[in-house]
Amino acid sequence: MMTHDDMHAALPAFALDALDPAERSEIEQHLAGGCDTCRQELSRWQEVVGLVALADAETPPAALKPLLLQRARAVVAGAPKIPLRLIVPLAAAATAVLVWGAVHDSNLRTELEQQTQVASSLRIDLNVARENLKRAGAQLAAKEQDLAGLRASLAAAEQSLAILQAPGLRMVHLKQTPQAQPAEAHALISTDAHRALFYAFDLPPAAAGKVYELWWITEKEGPVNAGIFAPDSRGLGRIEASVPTDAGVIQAAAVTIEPAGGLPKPTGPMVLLGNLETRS
Amino acid sequence: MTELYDRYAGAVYHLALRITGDRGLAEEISLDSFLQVWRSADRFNARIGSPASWLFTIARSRAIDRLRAAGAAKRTQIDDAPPPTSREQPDTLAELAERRRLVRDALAALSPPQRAALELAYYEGLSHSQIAERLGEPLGTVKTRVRQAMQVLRQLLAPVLSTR
Repeated sequence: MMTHDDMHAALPAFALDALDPAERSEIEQHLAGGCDTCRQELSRWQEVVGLVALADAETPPAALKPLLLQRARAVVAGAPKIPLRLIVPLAAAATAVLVWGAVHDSNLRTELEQQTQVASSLRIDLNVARENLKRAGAQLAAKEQDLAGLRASLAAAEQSLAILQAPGLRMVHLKQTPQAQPAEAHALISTDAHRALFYAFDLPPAAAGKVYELWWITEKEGPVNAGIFAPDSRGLGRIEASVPTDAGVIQAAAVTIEPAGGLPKPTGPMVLLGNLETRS
Repeated sequence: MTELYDRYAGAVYHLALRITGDRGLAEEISLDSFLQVWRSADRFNARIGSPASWLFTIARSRAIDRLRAAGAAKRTQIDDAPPPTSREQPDTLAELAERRRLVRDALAALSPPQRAALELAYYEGLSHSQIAERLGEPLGTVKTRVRQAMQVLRQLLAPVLSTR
């Protein structure tokens, strides 16, 4: 028969589960009898025992984590598929609940409340997960939009590069005409690729209902429409234009102000003009 | 759940592996232990911290049960012991590393006979008598060594124990 001091001294070994059966059962009865001092002391020793495991670690197989989450979800779903090999330990666990219930009967009394708390914390987890998913979805959409923008920029850059890389590149510098627009422009014309890049600088916004229209002044057909444009907030206008194939040599490039939508032949005031040098 | 796993899966797996010596069993025990803790996740809330110690206790208990399953009659299970009431669990990996270092230092501080007796109990689930038999030492000596080893650990781990 152990004295209370004996039992108190044996608690570390009890926490380790290293006591021989007779001593262990004596202490179990003592704890079940309601000795708070020993219960508290035991919980301290159990914590010491638990911590010892921290000393070493070994990375478990990567597949273990997804498997755990899958099992956890099955439990949440309320219809856990319990593998046979789990039934024995679970039954043992249930027995252990009874043993410990005698020691910690307050836990049994509050079981229902705890289950409610579990459900509630799961709901919170679920909501957090939904929020995260929503945020991830929004981020993905934003990224996709960025990507689409980048693709468009890249395509435009590739087209520009194709013009610049094609043989037969000519450049014309357009200067302000007496109509006194304080602007200038230049055009890079690839006669081989039949494409051109046109950039205008420091152009004021066109008046309401008006646009800027670019013209190629050709040898055979005179002015040929090359496109309309509106300068951006910095006064920069840009067009990628086609170059006529059967209108003869381009002698000049010009910009006029025309009604919105542009016209087939120029009617408005000419604001920029540049002559192409004859190729030697 | 995921956070608990990321922090402690390595220690749980190592513990189960060291006790059972079987990777398949160690994986199964790790899974079962995390699920067990997770099922009672509410008990960690606010007032109650240190799920790690509880998790390790469950894992060790399950592993030792497997070890003993072949022969010995079933002994006390502490699977479903409520977790100790304690302070917050460590917030950062740095704190976790610090706790790990402290535990290692504490184990290193044991005398070799103390450590031998403790390890036979801890990793092999042997009782006092079985340890005495294994080491060829008197029962009283073994009891004293185990108790002293535990006292040293408790003293050195005091900074991280929820209750001193």
